[in-house]
Amino acid sequence: MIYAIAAGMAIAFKLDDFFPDQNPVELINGALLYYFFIEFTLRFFLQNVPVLSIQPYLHLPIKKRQFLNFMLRKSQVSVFNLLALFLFTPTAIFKIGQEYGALTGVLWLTMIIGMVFTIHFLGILFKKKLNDAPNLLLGMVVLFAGLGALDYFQIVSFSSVSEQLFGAVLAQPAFAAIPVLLWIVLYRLNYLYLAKNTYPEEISIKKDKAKVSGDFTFLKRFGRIGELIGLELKLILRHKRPRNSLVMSGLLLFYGLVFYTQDSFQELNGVFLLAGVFVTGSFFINHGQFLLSWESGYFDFIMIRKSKIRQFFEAKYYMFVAACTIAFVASLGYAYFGLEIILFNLAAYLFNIGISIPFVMRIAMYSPKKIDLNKGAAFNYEGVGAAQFLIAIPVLGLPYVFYGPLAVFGYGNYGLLLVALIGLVGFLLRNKTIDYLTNSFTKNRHKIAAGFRAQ
Amino acid sequence: MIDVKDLSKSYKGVEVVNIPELSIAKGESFGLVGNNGAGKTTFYRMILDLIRPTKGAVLSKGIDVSTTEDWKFYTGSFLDESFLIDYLTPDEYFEFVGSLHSYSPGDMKEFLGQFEALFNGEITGKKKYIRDLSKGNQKKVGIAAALMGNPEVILLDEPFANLDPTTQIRLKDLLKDWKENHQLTMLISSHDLNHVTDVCERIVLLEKGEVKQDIKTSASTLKDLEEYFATY
Repeated sequence: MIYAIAAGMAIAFKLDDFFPDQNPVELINGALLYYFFIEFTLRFFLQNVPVLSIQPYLHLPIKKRQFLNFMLRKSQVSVFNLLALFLFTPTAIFKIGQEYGALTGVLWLTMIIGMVFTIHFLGILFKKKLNDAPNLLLGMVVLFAGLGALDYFQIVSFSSVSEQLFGAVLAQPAFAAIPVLLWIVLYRLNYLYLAKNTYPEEISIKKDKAKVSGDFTFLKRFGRIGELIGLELKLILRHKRPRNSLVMSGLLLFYGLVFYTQDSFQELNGVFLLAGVFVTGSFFINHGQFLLSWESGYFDFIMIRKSKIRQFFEAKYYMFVAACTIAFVASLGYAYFGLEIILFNLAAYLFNIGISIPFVMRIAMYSPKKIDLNKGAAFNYEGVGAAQFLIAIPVLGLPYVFYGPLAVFGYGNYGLLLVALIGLVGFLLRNKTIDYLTNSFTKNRHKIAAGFRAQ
Repeated sequence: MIDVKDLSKSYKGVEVVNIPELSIAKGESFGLVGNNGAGKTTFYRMILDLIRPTKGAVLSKGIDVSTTEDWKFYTGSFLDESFLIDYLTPDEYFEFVGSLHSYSPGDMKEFLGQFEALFNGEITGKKKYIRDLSKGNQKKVGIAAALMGNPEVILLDEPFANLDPTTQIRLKDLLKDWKENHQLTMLISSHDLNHVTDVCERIVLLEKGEVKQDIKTSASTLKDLEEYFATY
């Protein structure tokens, strides 16, 4: 939100500096069409359709008209709709207001707001229609790609179209009424559509997925542990949120680029250890912080089944080690920026698998919270508690406890060696650590189970 | 088989279960009845070491269940959906549970063969996750999985709820058959007095966490129970 305000300010004031030879208002008007296209696409993927929430009201003695209106109006209160407001209000006040007069500024903003809500309802309508006609999405993609191509090859310039479209308001402020009218029309269309389709099964956006993904049969060769890892992988791949954190971990592989490409860090290369921790350890940090919460939905199963709890933790440990190893191997590509980076990553990798993984696993056991796997990933903070904030401290801090003092006195290489050795010792003692984890779990199991049930 | 000693559980000073003494013999079919909030599920959870008793203990084969994991190897159970891994298909779930009991594919086929009538062609071989099944079908999956690995004891909470009449009758036959042929000790809780008196030879009536009646099932049991709950 603060970013949005800051960005809005920047648009209003800094545009002159970046493009001194162009009129900033024209520039903004030219970009608006693109902005709305992007916003529409974003909404399509992220915005929830408010439709499913009508189910609990259907059997109550409330007039359909009332709750449909309520539903549609409520849907307008959303972060997406505020975004444009934050982005463009400064421009409306400081640029357009000053150049064209306050009334034009207000009407220009009205136009933006009108467009935002038009897109809002267009998005909802579109998402629902998609259910009846799945090919619509394909058509949409083709259309967008086609328009993009037209623009790219400069057959039609959308920025000038956009500029004329939105610039018209500046010349004739009454045009601001058009988007507002569109808004009302689309609201009405949504209403009519909903009124005709108040049967949840018809408007539900759930698609019947006949596909069952991933079998991981090869893991069965590793016995019980492999079996348990396979189960966890299925958990990750079949739910949005853990899948997202897996993708995030993949992206964090590139985190090193932030450091390695900066000249200023070449002198201060101690920072590379931090990069190494992130690059090789992103998966266990992302996924491991919710260690047990992922399985809160079937926690009772774990407790009563004929499987030793120790194996359960062993499986998790080895899964994290495997993920770190994969990340480390992938990070070998960073040798391009200098061989010493490999040394840093190796030390960080060993420290991660020897010390940090057990640490994260232990801290994650501290009063874990329930996670409903079937909920989406965006803005979902379920399962986040004090423990998830605490985790950063040992993971990022501990390597420096050993590396820092030596590096300060100029023995950085010995510092790395120390970090690597400690990690290695930790890894060699892994059976002891897993025993310890199992014991602390066994002691707290009733509390954890009760916590998962109560929420 | 299962002995309860001085068992008590309180939440914030309110006692929800208080059973000073109860023994369930091997091969016995034990039915637990009582209104909502009588403590049936809490009692079962303590038998499965899912809840720590405030006082006392549950012994399985003479050993306190909270001190060992051995009971897990001969106890099957299905209390609610948290006993299922709902993002697996039923086939994957059976396979996973089967692997815990070292079932070969042949064992699995033979095992699932017994449930053909119960499943009614709606469970196995379908590419559908458990979370997308109806409540009744989820229950069928849970009950079948609870019987995996030839358990000596089985705990079921409301096994007849959500099932269609045909399946209820088939389940009753199945349970009776397992009791006959596998000397299975069964602990069943149910609101369905009709079914529970039919399947169980012993009925314990729980009210506000305390045992009010402990009777051997006879021809008049169903009538007595109905009378009790009607005047409750």
